[in-house]
Amino acid sequence: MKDEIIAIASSQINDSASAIKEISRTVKTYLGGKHIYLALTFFTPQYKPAIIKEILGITLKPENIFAVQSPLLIFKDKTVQRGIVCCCFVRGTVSIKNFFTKNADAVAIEFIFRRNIMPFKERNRFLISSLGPQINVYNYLRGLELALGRNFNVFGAGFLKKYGAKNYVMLNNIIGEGLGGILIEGNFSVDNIKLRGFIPLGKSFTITKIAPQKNRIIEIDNKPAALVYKKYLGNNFELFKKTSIYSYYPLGIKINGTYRLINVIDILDDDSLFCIGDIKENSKAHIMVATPESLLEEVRKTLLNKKSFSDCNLAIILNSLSRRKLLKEKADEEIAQIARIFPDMTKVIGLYCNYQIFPCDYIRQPTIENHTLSVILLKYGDH
Amino acid sequence: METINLIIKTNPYLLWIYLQFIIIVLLSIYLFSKLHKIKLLNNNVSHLYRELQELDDQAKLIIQSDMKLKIYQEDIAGKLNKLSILRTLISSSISILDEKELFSKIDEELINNLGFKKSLLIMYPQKELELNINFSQKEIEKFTNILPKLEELFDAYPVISQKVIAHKEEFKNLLEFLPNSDFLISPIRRGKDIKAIFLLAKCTLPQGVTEAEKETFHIICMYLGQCLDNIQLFESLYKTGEELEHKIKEKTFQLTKSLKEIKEISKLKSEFISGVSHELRTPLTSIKGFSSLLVAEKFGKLPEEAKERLKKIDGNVDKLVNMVNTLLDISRIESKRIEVKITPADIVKIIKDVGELLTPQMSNKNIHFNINTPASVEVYADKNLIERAFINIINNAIKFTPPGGTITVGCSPKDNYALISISDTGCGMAKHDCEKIFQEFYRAENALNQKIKGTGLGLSLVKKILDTHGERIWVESELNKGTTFYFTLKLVK
Repeated sequence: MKDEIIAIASSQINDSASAIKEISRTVKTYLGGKHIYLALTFFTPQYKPAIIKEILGITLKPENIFAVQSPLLIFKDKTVQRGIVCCCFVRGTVSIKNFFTKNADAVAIEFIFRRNIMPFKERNRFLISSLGPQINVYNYLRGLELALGRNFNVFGAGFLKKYGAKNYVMLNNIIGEGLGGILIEGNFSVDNIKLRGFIPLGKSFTITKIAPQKNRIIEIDNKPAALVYKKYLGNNFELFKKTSIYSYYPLGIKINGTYRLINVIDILDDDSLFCIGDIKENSKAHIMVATPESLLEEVRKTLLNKKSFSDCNLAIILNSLSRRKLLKEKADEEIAQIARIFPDMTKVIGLYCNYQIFPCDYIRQPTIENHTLSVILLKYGDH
Repeated sequence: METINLIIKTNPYLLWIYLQFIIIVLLSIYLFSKLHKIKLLNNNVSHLYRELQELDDQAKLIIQSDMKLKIYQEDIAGKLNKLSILRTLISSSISILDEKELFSKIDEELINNLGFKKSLLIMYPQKELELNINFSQKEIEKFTNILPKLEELFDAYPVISQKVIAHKEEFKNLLEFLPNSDFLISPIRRGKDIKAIFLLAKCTLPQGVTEAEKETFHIICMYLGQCLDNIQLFESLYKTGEELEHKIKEKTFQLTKSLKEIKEISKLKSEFISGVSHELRTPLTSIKGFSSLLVAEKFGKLPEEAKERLKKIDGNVDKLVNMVNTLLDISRIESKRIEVKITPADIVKIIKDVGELLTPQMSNKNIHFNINTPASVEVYADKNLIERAFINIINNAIKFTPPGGTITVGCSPKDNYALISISDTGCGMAKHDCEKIFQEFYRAENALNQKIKGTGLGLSLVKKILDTHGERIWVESELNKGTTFYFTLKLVK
């Protein structure tokens, strides 16, 4: 207890107040009377953010709360379908800057970052953010780039609208839908790994025309973009459109031997492909497919070769809902497989989202991906 | 060679031509080989292109079959999800016996799980709102106004969807009320009557409202209707049960009252019989004394005719005394004024004693008396009363057994009791008589019975004796074959 600087806890009690009380008891067991600087909280839609904030304020009294609502959570080696997961940092271990906006263009986002984030000059830092359904992710990345430059550790979990459910984010006293995030700085190093496991199928093609928002592919090989799916699906194309199972067949944009996965959200009437994320013209791409086996095999291979797991203090998993849909009953096995690789000292938490943002290893700038499982690895000290 | 040297020496120009020829030949060979290589490479390229095309075709096949598989899987997952919704609803509501509580199970979570964002549940015909999810007051009013029109459609369409009314002018209002929204409406019926109308609107499913959604919704509405039927049935059963309980209580009270009265009457009867018998016995004893003396001609010789008549008087006085004694015994037992002393007794000895006592009567009718018992059987009994029971039963047997017949008394020890039987080869009796034979003053209806006189009290007394012992007595008989009386007595261990 003496040396603990980070504590994680979870509760699956139905009532919001009781769940937070249970979490607080666990955190206090680990951290004792230490002052809590940041409570990083993930919660499923059944819980009320206002109650979470109120009870956390009474029980743990953290200086800062950053809470994100997600359909599914990850705690240690398990998926939590209904519950709250909390990670508390003791004062002195990290310092944060935060931001929240409901809906903004790139310029506004740049302004927010310049005002809030820029004065922060420490070297070891990373940005973790939650993007609600109404946020244009391209604007967000553009604003980030304008304010912070390209080479920046940005992680993000993005959510799409589903069944009209709200996606709340809570930042201290602010509770709402939109874009919220915190920039964390401290004496630590940050690493991240990405697990994909999709296989390219068929001939490669070139994205020849995109919309100015960079989230709509208008032409592929100088033909309407949807024709690429029509070519491969033949008579099944209409069924493909009707059933909206695009997420099973993302586009893979080849970058230095790996494939960045781009999910098609909709096929529009003009046969253009509406996607999440910024897509560049003249990118070479493939249609990608995956099976639960190929996804798990990728996890196994990547974990075997990665050494940075061994000494990290905290692992935050950002997993993809579409990936879970593909893995079906094997989804929990994937989480367990990842959690097993960490030593006992590593705390594992996470959430599921529709898309993620993380720094790309090759092009040195934040990228958006779907279907990818990414892990943020935080190693404390040595810096 | 010499010729070539000679030519070169004679004409050096020819050498130059010769060299040029050699170079041309060599170049031609080189060119030819290169052309051949290009041809081979071209072949390879076209082969590779064909293979690539084949791979691309295979990719098409893979994607197409993978997509079909995934659609099937999605379909199955969707169906399983719907089954799970139904299971959850059924398991949480199957034992509900209250209407309000039943409808409280239809909540926002269920509506969202079914893939809809808005819902209304309106009780019909009273038009009371039972559930509202995301509808405004104005929308509810509009929907309530078109309910009577909808009722007409429910006979033809158990579930109304957008497709059903899309081209019907009279439902323009409904389509305006739910613009661009896939919806489902169905009645919840109790029996044949519409009890409520259920509306799901604003479908959020990517494929919209399909047959599967319609079917699931229909099943839910039918299930709710079934639940309403059950609730009604339970309510009526409960009501009937309550009425029944009330009636039973009333009847029980009446019966208790009657029983009390009967007991009171029985007690009075016993007291009356006891009193009358007692009062009768004193003069009867005196009459019997005098009649016996007269018959014995103690008061002098009597004329033969008078003697005969006196003998009859004496015999009838005997019968009367017997009857009075029996009645006295019955009333004593009934009123528990008789002291019953149940002690260990040898039943075989009792049987033998009774046999000896009744030997004259049996000898008179040439009846064989058999005792079929072990040497000794110890039972708990009041010796005098059981002796009396035996006398009455065997006397009865003697009366109804024709001359030359047989009376057999048996005793066989069972688990913890002795089973005693008294059989005769008499006229027997009908089955309905067997059931009534132990009632007071009851006499079996047969020709022989009319000849043989009796009071109908003997077997009644036997029954009462065995009742006081807490034992059972029953009779088995067959007309013209004989009768067997059975009774039990506890064995001494």
